[in-house]
Amino acid sequence: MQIELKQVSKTYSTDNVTYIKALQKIDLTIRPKDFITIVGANGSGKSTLLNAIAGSATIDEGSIEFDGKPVQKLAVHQRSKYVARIFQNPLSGTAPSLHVIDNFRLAALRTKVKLPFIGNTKKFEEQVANTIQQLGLGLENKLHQPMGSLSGGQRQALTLLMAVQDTVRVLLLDEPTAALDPKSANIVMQTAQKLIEQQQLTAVYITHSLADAAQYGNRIIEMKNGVIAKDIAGEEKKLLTAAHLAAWFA
Amino acid sequence: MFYISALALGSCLATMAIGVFLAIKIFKIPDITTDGSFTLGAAVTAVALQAAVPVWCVIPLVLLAGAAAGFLTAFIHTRLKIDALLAGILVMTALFSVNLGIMGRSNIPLINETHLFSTENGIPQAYKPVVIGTVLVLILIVLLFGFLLTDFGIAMRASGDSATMSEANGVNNSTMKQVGLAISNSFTALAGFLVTQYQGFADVNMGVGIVITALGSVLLGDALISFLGIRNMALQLVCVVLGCWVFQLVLALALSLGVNPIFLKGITAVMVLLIVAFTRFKSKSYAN
Repeated sequence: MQIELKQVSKTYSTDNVTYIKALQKIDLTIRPKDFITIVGANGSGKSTLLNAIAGSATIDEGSIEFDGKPVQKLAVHQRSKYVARIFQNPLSGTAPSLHVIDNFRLAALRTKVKLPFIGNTKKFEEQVANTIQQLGLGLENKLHQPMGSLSGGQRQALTLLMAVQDTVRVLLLDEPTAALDPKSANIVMQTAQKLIEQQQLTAVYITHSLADAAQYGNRIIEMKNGVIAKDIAGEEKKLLTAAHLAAWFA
Repeated sequence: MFYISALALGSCLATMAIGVFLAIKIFKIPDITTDGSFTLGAAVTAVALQAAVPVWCVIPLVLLAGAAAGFLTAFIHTRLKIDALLAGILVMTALFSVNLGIMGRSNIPLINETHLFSTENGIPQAYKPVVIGTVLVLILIVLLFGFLLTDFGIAMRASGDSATMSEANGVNNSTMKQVGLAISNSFTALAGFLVTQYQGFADVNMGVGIVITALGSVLLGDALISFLGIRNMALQLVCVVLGCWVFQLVLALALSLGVNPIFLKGITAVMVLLIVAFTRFKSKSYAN
């Protein structure tokens, strides 16, 4: 799916006196199958950009189009038909009191109507168990445990798998590994990479890890004070190393 | 026998406890429309029975009326972005006039009307409210349990559990709140239906402070749920019914010990305070 941002601006005001220009007339075309990594200092507008695409931040000006269709008026739950999200807080993507299997059932219906019929069948359960097995964490035996009994890393990994339970074309990852230990972080990013390649997803990935930014994606964007400072793709992106990126922040 | 009448009242109020449990614990909305929707159920019951509507036909009317009240609160809360507590107070206050309008006067006695507890059915008179009330609430629990297991039910539970997760998965949280409070308040209205027939009259003031009784029952039920570590939702709902019974039994015990009935509401409030104080440290919930 192609996502097009035209002249998108967003200003936050905390007290009606100070204003933070999080996005300033952003023009950005995310082409189908782009895997974009976004880097930038805190407060540079990275998360706001992602939230503007997902709908959790309403933009003040400009337009956002999914495949030519304006979506800036659509609510988060409406845009979830097109985009799946992985949050910075590894607990945000799952419902803690619900069983693991119920979380997956809801994710499997992300783009569909939730009907008053029982859809948690044995067949569905087997399907989910098979999917979860690929993580190699043994979570396929915990389908009937509350999601809240699992660790942050486990929940973030499951959130990723949940994102692809239903048809998905765009994956938005907002610092998905920032709160995780190195081992969990690795599992999450490996899984993300695999899913994006297998399902040919369009992905936008925010990170503070310059090593990850250099390793992943076919295009890299640096944000600075609410504008896109650098936008590098193709061969030039491949040649970038963490050391090059570190120089951007110097 | 004070405990028989306590159990009778507890059984009649049980559906309300289930309704408030749904709102507070499952949908996580602090809804206090309860006072109004309880009396609304009572008003509709008295007027319908007076008009000789068969008692089994009164039930859908009562459920519908309660659902409308709950929907209105949720609508004000979600559409006008008003705090859920304030929305509940507004609707509860307005319902006082609505109830008075429905009844036409402040009190309607049911003397000659045929109702649930007046018909002969082989159950001894003293036990009728307990048996009928319990059967009704058990039917409700089974239906509700089945409903919460469906795809729509999962969406509702997710909405109350994690709004971020549910909206990211295509759930309209506003709609869920509207449906949730409609269900919750229809259950509360059903308690008004039962209590009216149990006490033999409807009074426009009968709902004053009833939300505290509901809250106390829910907290007692919840304490039982965490004490026993119950995860099954149907059994959790049964615990809430038990909480409702215990609450009424303790109240009745206090009265039988010679406490002046004037202080009934005061005792109710103090009891809820004690329950909150003793259970707040034990409640465990998962990080969100």
